[in-house]
Formats: sequence, structure tokens, C-alpha cells
Amino acid sequence: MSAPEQFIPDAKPRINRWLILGLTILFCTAGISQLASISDEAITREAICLRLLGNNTEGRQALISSAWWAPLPTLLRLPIVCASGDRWPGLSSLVVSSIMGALLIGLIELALHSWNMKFQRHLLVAGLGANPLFIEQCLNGSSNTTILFFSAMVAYCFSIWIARRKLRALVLFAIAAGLLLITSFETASWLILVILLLVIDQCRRKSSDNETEAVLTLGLLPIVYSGLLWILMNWLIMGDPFYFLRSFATTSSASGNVMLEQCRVTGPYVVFCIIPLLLVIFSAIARDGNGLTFGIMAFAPILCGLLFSHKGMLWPSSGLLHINLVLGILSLGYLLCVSSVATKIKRARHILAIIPLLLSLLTYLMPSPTLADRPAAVTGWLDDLKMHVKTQHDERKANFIKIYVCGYDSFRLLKGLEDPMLLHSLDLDFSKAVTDYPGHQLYILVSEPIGRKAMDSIHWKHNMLFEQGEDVLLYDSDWHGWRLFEIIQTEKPKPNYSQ
Amino acid sequence: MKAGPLAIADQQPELSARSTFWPWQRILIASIFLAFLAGVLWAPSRVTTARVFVTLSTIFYLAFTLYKVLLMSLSTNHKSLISPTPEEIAAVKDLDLPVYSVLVPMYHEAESVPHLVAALARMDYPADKMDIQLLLEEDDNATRKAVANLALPKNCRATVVPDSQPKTKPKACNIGMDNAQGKYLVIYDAEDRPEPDQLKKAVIGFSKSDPSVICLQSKLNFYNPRQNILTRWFTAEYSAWFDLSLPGLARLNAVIPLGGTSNHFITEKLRELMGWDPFNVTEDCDLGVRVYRKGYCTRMLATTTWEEACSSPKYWFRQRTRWLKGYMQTFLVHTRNPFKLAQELGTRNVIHFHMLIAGVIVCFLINPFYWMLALLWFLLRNNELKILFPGPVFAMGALCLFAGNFVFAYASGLGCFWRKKYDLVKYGLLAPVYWIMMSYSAWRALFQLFSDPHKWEKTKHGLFKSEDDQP
Repeated sequence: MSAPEQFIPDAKPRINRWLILGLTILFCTAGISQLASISDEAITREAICLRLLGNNTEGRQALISSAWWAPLPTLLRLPIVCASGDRWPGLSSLVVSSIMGALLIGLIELALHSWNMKFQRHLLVAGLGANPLFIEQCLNGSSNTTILFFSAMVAYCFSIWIARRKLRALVLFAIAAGLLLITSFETASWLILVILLLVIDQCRRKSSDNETEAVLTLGLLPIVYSGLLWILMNWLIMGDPFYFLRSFATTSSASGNVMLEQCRVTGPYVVFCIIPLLLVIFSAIARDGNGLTFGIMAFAPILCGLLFSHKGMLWPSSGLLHINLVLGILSLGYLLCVSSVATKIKRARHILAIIPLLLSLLTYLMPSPTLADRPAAVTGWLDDLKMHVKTQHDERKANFIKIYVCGYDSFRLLKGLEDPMLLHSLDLDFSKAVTDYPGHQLYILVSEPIGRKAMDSIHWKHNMLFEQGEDVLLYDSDWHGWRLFEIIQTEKPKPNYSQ
Repeated sequence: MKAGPLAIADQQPELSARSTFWPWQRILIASIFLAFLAGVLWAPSRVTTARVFVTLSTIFYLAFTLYKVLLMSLSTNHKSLISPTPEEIAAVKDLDLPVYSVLVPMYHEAESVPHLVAALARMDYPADKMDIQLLLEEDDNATRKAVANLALPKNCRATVVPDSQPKTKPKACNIGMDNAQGKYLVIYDAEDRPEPDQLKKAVIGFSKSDPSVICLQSKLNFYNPRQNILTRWFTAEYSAWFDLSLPGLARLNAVIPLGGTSNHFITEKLRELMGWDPFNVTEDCDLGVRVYRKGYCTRMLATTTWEEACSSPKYWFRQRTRWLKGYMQTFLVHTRNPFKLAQELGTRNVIHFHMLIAGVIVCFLINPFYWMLALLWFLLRNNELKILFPGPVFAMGALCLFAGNFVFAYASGLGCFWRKKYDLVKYGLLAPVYWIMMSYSAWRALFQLFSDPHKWEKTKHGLFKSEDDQP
């Protein structure tokens, strides 16, 4: 496409540090009173941090052994957990999510400002800041704000790179993409599309082979490096370089019409999917290459989300949907200020800029679009479970009982517990367990494979274990979404000396 | 008034590297070494000693990496260079230009003389206002003969440096400074090819700057980057340093360790500083620190001098050993009175000084130890190594290993890109091999610091003959 190069005004606004600091304090203050309702993910990640600080094998395994539990959000919490220990559960997650949420708002403001958007940019920023989904994520210690921040960074830096060819933008794009990969593996599909766009953009320019090679080297290296590092860590810690990817072989456990479910979740956010699409259409008509590239990039998460939905995995598509919220706002800013139609819709700018804010306010009137209602946490049942197991055996055998609690949820369940009877397990091998604890009564406790939990190694290693058990497992009992099995230990055949 | 070639050593011995260690420094270094040795040899304290060492060095690595990232960020984001525009340069009238002294110390560089004279003739500066001195050593008959055989322009004269100890470049420069007639003064090496408008840019740069700016450092780069893998790495390193680190330092108004050539000075102020320390083997770095200690400062000038990158491993090791030994000398000289240093530089600049001078030395010295440790861990999966790394230290160590090393290698590639030497980007990423060579040189420098502190290992130039590979 012979695209007229769009000029992005070379305004050089600075990131508003006071805004970020103020918002961080605001989010932290608001979230501190709600620490009790911190997200499960946050609790699990903090528990992993504690294990890491204790230099434990299961901590290191938990850090890298699943593509669905990317390592960076855990590592970001590590310094705060190191300082605060186990005294303030949820604090590190709240601080990280607040900082990332504030940084995201600062970045969006900076992006819109650099596109020479006047006061309308405050409306767009307010549209994000007032969004209930965004606020919830800032306050509940979720890693989603981190994902959103890096996604916005990727999108913004990419737009600067294609328009102005600033090396700094390429570097920040590459680093943000590398970090995004190890923050949320779900976004890998989107990143692949963005990389493809980078390659296409580079190829359509008449630059030398050496320059193309250099751009692609610097632009892709951090992403490749992040991926290779993850593989290396899996090889070192799990003994299998692709261990974290094994869960992809697992089939989905979601039921019902996933597309309908997706629409239910999407709710008013569907508008944010339309904005990039409009950008794509307008740019294609105006033969504006940069606008088209940006529009496709902003629209891509929806396609990736649909792909996951088609596979029956709703939680990654939900994450991608959140990205779309941010990219939708950026696309609107791009459409109103930078794209080829910007001058034609100059008068309607104010009205269009208010859309995100209206949608955010509208969302308050609608039922909360969460994928699944979080069941009320039931506590204290672990003691009952232990008692239950003990009563099945002679009192003297109590010290010879081990229960392997499987999967990432075990970190949340066993957080703060130092019980020799309960063991974390991320990579359980039944025969090895028997060899490790000869003469013990061995049990495994497995969570119901719903959502992300279905991707735990126990489920991809032993498909249908929860429903149908295994040859060496004997069903025992159900415990609040968990199922207890006993490992059957066959006696070793006695050697026949007569032969 | 002529100060003499050894002025700083004679009049301010505490600022000269004539005596490498002061008594208390000897005692302190010996004490630390003995305490470490005792800690390692005495079984009960072995683990604690190792842990302390590992913890401190991990914190240092992390700080150093963040420092590097900060400098890169500032260098690429802000206008930290003094960049006279073509219009400003064109507007300068020859009559208004001051006399500019150009010092070119030479030793056993007879083959460079014709190139040098040609390069200086290309300078866009009125010939009658250039005061060029070729500083020739008395015992270097070949170079003296080559100069004598050449019809030197009127503005160029040969100054013979008497054959005496120390036989170093800074001593020759001090003699040149004493004889200089210009308002401004610049040092070039014999093989240098400065950009023709560099002197005019410097004049404009000084006129635009604050009076406290007495030195302008030009960027350095190489005209033979593609000669072999060594020159490719060297170019990546120089690009990362002069383009992605020094502008950041200038932006922070931090101490700038000067490069060995193309430093432009206000002659009067340079004399006030008593010139270069003839006993310091990186006299440029030392002078850069003294500029700030006197309350003056240095800025970066947006112009490049093209040099010849050392292409021979043998001479490269010798050159690097000298540089790192000079860094060690500079550190020892300026920490002789730490309180005075803090008073003169200010807290912020003391931190910069330690990061830039001590940081580089420590980094190269301890790198081999950590590479071996990482290799052992990868190959043997030795669980006993875990005891050296308590949880938080392990996390920081892993961050430095995986993110820190990446940052430094990536920076080398970026430097090449920034210089538009696109084909060298991939070589910049192979920098870790280059770091091994640096670490070897650092250890060699450390041994030489004790055995022969003033030994000047001369770099051999003129190994690059082709004229095709020009910038």
C-alpha cells in the first residue's frame, strides 16, 4: 500500500510523576481497607514469593512451571514480600497493582498528550480511571494492571516507532513486549501478531538489508530472550525445557456456549472492540499505512480472545478483553488526533471523547461482568481433613501420613501453614512419591479443574483424574472443590532366591 | 609562566599517582585481603564470609545495572550534547575566532605523520589561528626524521620532549601545554581524524556554555570497525560509551572520565589545574575528575573524532590493561582523602565517581568468579551453592545474571544502531566474549598495579591500511 506517511506532532510531554504518585497513594489507601477480599491469584503469588524467599524447590517450580502462572507478576511482588514477610497478606499485591494501575493512567495520558490531544485527553483518561473493572483490578491485587500497562506500552511505543522511527521507541516496545510475555503468556498470541506487523512495516520501508536486520534484532531480541529464559529455567528446575507448555495439550473444561458467554462478559466493552475496527476501516480507505497498522494491532486482541474462547478457555480471553479496553481508548485517541480522519471529525472530538467515560458509568448500572462468582472462602476444613485421614488409621501411624496438595491453588490453601503432613506438589510423580516416603500412607488432594486450575500439571499429566481417578488412586472424599485420593501402594514382589 | 611537566606531582603530590598507595591505603587493602583470606580458610566462618561477599557483590551488580539503564535512558531522551547548528557554524567569522592550540603527542608513529598532517589540513579553521604542536620524544629518531622530511605547514611546529622519566604521554602534553599559545587547546592522537568543523564547534560550544564549563569532550569512534571481530566489538563498546552513557552523565552534571583524545580545554583553566598527571597511565580520566574537584565541569560536544581501533589482540590487551590500571590509580589517588573528595565533589558526584571508576574495576574483577559460579550451577546443579545465596540474594543474583547481562549486551547492540552501523548490531550482542577479555585485562592490570604501576604499554597504531572503510 502506498501510504502517505502520517505526521505525528513531535510534542515531547513528560510523564506526570505527581499524577502517578497521587494515584498510587489513592489506590493503596482505598485498597488497604479491602485487603481481606484480595484476589485468589494475589494470595497464591504471595505464597509463592514466601517459598522463593525460603529458597524452597517448590517456590522455584511454581515460579516457572506453568505458562498460565507467568513469573514476572510474582517477581514484582518479591521485594515487598521480602520486606513485609507474612505480616500483611495482600499488601505486596495491592502495592504492585496500584503502582501499575497508576503507571497505566500516566502512560495513557502521556500517549494522548504526545499525540497533541488537548483537554479531551482528560475525558479519555477519566473513562479508564472510572471504569469499575479497572478500579477493581487496582484494588484487588490482580496482575491484570501489570498486563494492561505493558500492553499499553507495547501499543504506544509501536505507534511511535512506525511513525517517527525513534530508536528509544523501538527499544521500549521490545522491552515491554518481552516483559509482557513473562507477565501473561496468554498475550503471546497477540504479540506474535504485533511482531508480524513490525516485520511487515519494516519490509514496506525502503531500508537496507542491514538496517532491517538490525531493527528486527533489537525489536525482537527481548521477546526471544524472555522466551528462551523461561525455557532454560524449565530445563534447569523441572528437567524439561518445555514443561510449562505441556498444558496446551489439555482440552478445555468449559461448558456451554462459549461465544454467548463471551458476549455476556463483554457487555458494554464491545464498543471498545469497535473503535480499533473503525480505525482499520478509515485508515484503509485513506490509504494510511500507519493508522492501519495501529488499528490492526489494537483489534488483534479480540481475535486472539475469540481463538481462546473457541478453545473453550475463557479466562485468557477475559484478560485479552481487558487489554482491549486500554487499546480501545488509545485507538480512539489515535483516531481523533493522528489518523487521516482526525481533521474531518475535529468538531465531534468532544462528543466522541466522552464515550469511554459514559460506558464506564453505564457499567456501574449493569451486573458485574465477571466470569464466575467467587465462592465464599471456607476456612478451617483442612483440620477436618487431617482429622478425617488420621481417624482412618491407627493413631500411631499419624506421623506416617503425607498428603500431597496439588497445583497452584495449594499455595493459597497452605499459605502460612508449616505442617509436615501437608506437602506442596506441582510436579507429582506417584511412583516417586512412594519411593520418597516408604512405609507412609500417601494421599493426594486435587482441586476441581475449573478455569486456570485445569492447566495444573496434575490434570494435564493425568487427564480426567478428578472425574475418573487413576489406576493407582483410590477415591476417598470431597472437600470444598477439592478431591482426596489415596495412593495405592502395591507390595514389592519378594525376590525368589530359589531361581 | 611555565609550570613544568611534573607540576602536579611536585606541587600537589596528593593528586598525583607518583606514589601509588598511601600508607593507610596499603594497610586497609592488606587488612581486607587478610580478613577475607582468614574468613575463607577458617572453616567456621567460611560460609558467612562467602555469603557476605556474594551479598555485597550482588547488591553492587544490581546498582551498577540500574545505573547503566539510567544513563542510557537519559542519553537517548534528552538533549545532553552541545550541538552547534550548521547555521551557527556558518555565521562564525574567521576574524572573530581565537587562536586554537592543537597538541599531538607522538611516539614511534612515523607512519602516521602524513595522515595526521593531511587530517589537520582538512580542519575548517583559519590556518593562521591554529597553533599545532607535534610533541616528539627525544629518543624517537624515526618519527622525528619523518617529521623533518615533511614540509610542515607554517602553523605546525615540532616540540621535542626531553628524554627523561616518566616517559609518558601526559608529560609530553604538559610540555605542549606550557608552550601553547591558543585560548583553547585540544589533544589529538597521531592517527585521529577529527571532523573538520570540530574546532569551530568547540569555540561556539564554549561561548554558549556556562563559565564553569572548561572542557568539552568530543565523541570518539573508529574508522576501521569492520577490520576484524575485535574492532567490531571495540566499536560497539565505544558507541555504547560515548553515545549512550557519557551524554547521560553530562545531563546529570556528573563527573565525566575524559577520553584520551579530542578533549577541548580553555588553556588558562587547564594551566590552573596544572595539566595532566605524568604518572597516571589514564591521565585523561584523572583530569576529568580533577576538573570537577576544582568546581568546573565538562560537557559533551556533538562532533566525532575517528580513531583507529586496535585490531591486534596482543596490543588490545596491553592497551586495556593500561586503561584499567589507570582507573585503579585514579581511584586510589582521589580516595586518599575521602572527606575532602566528598567536600569538593558533593555527595551526588562522589556516588558517580565510585560507580564510574570503582564500579568498572570491580565489575571486571569479580565477573570471572560469577561466571564460574553460574557455569558450575548450570553444569553440576550443585545444591551446595544454594547456601551462598539466601532467598533475597538469590533473587537479586538471578535478576543480575539474566537481566543485567542482557542489558549490557543489548546496550552494545544499541550503540551500533545509534551510530547507524547496522551491520555491527549483531556483533554487539556477542559482547559477553569481549567481557571475558576485559576481565583478563583487569586482573593483569591489578597485578601490574603492584609490580609496575607506571609502566606505559603503548598501543600500536597503523595496523589498518585500507582507506576504503571510512565513516
